[in-house]
Amino acid sequence: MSGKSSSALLWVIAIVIVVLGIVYFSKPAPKAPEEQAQPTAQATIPEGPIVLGAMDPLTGDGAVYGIPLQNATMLAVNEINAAGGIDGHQLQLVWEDSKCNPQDGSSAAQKLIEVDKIKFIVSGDCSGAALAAAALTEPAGVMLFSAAASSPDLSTAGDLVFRSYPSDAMAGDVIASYSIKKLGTKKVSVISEQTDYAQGLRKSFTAAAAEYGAEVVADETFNTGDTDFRTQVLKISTAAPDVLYIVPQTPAAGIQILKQLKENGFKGQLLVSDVMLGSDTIAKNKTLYADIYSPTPELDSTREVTKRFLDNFQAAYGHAPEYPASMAAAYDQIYMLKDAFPVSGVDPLKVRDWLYAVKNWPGALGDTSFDQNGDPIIGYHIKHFVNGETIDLGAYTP
Amino acid sequence: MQIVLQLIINAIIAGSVYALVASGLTFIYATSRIFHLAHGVVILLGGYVFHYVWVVLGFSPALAAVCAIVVSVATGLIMNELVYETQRKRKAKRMAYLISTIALLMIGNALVLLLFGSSLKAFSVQTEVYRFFDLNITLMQIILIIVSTLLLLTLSFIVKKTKFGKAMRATADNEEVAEVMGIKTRDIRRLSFLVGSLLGAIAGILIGLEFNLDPNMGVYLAIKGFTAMVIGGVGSIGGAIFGAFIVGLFEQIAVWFFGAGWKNSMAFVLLFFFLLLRPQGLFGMRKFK
Repeated sequence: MSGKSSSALLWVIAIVIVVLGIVYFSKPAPKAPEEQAQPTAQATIPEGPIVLGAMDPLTGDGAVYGIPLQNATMLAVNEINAAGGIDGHQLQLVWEDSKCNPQDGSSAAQKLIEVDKIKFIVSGDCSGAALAAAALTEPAGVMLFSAAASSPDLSTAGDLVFRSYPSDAMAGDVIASYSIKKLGTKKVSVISEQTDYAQGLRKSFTAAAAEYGAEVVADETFNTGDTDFRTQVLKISTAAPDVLYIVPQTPAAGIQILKQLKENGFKGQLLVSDVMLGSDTIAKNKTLYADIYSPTPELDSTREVTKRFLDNFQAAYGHAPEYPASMAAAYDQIYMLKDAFPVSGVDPLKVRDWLYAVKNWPGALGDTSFDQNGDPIIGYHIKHFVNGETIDLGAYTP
Repeated sequence: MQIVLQLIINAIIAGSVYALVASGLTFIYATSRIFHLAHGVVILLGGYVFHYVWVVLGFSPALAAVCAIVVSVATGLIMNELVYETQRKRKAKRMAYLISTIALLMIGNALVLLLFGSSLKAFSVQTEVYRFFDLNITLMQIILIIVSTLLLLTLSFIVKKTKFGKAMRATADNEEVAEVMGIKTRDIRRLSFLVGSLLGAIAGILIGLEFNLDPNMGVYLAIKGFTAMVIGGVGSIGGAIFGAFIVGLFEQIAVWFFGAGWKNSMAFVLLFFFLLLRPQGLFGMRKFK
């Protein structure tokens, strides 16, 4: 390179750096969310439709629950719009596909915040995607309201992060307590996928098991996309636990594990996490669901609002909800916002205060209140699957 | 002891699939001098077409297997004809083949994703489990091992005893001399792509039946096959088969001792050590150039 062109190049680089510097420093510093909270006397909703962002896993393995959750969300939106909207404002949703992974969850949230200028994101997302999204929504002063992400880490992900589905800190505790106190197990084991959701559940399960006096004899993990679990199964079998808790991110991996456990002749009691409870999955694999326990928030169809959700869903889509609990949570989200907007306006901070203040809000999933982390306080039922048939063993509190 | 034996059985199950991949790669490399990483796509297509015709369209598994083999072999031949042979005519350097094979792998992977979707495809085939002295093996796994063994034996018979095998070895030894002696090296290359892709297609079908199908596995299988090839000594089919079992065994050991996170990296670790310490492989005569 000649001296002339190299000095030209240096000049170009210098100019680029200066321009970038000007752009960076001239950007107004983001205001802390608290400063923006100015109490106003009355809530006004701006003219035109209320636009919410929505992100679900719409493709990939996660789509088995993403699409049902999207249907439940849209059921609530269509009902509200058909009844005249919120104070005359129609609800509009901008959908993004988060694909059940942090990278796509992050891009989905970024697009909704930066391009669509959205203030509220409802999501039926995997924990990994929701956690990644929360890292962007919280500093931007955007509310993230999740109906499916259940990782305990989401509790502390931000003040504007809420969920209508309970945290796994609860689920792990419930199933550990049930298997130790009711089934009398002393040696527990767990196999979990390397994802935020599954690891959250794994941690809460092992911590609770240790607390209730059981020994964790095997704690195996696997990677997303793995299909050969033989060595893990062998290792778990060798440790001879009384019970094995299976925590995959999607049903496909879980089914493969059940299959390989059966081939191995594993004798312990099996427990599964709630992604394994899809009615489709169970119907297709009856022989694998020979004797399995799982905790899940339960719908009480004698409640008026729950019955309305179940009936309307059946009428709209021609079948019962595949994942009743989290789909009811997705349905509830939209109705909660519907109740919040006329009081607090389309303002994330005021909606936050409204949500914290709400007590026993009547939802399809149950009477909902929120704790200081924005997690709902809802009870669990234990389900027992015997040869593909589901038996509800009733509510259980550790 | 039982655990060790069960681990070895698990390694043999995984290893026999890798062996099919590695021997196909070796076969192709021997005549064309191409590290045909896009072989991963051929394997993927084998599994996915088999699944599509059998499970989605509902035809018989035998017809599905035939369709899978036809599509895979055609893909392998088309890749050779359109890309590699065209480059050969232009006297391309080795690096050019390597780049185009990586490109083919990526394009093929994306096409499989586009056509069949990203979700895991399962066959839900449950076969009987046999237990010998507390060791477990299913009928499917026994079939898998037998099919691979038979294929590999047939392959070594072809290489050692047939005229095509001789021509192939001559081409592998010195392409120009073989050409002078009247061997149509171009046809030999075509035949080796045909045989290699056939092995790949069968590997894809067996993998689908035994382990389910995941669109990312094409890349991993190509890398594992390549590693097996390097371990055994590039160009030696027996070596590639042995290398495949080494890869299978080390993966099981990694999962047992260090956890599943290390499983897929084992192939890279082995590849790294062999390239560094013994680039000619365990049985390789020729220097790895």
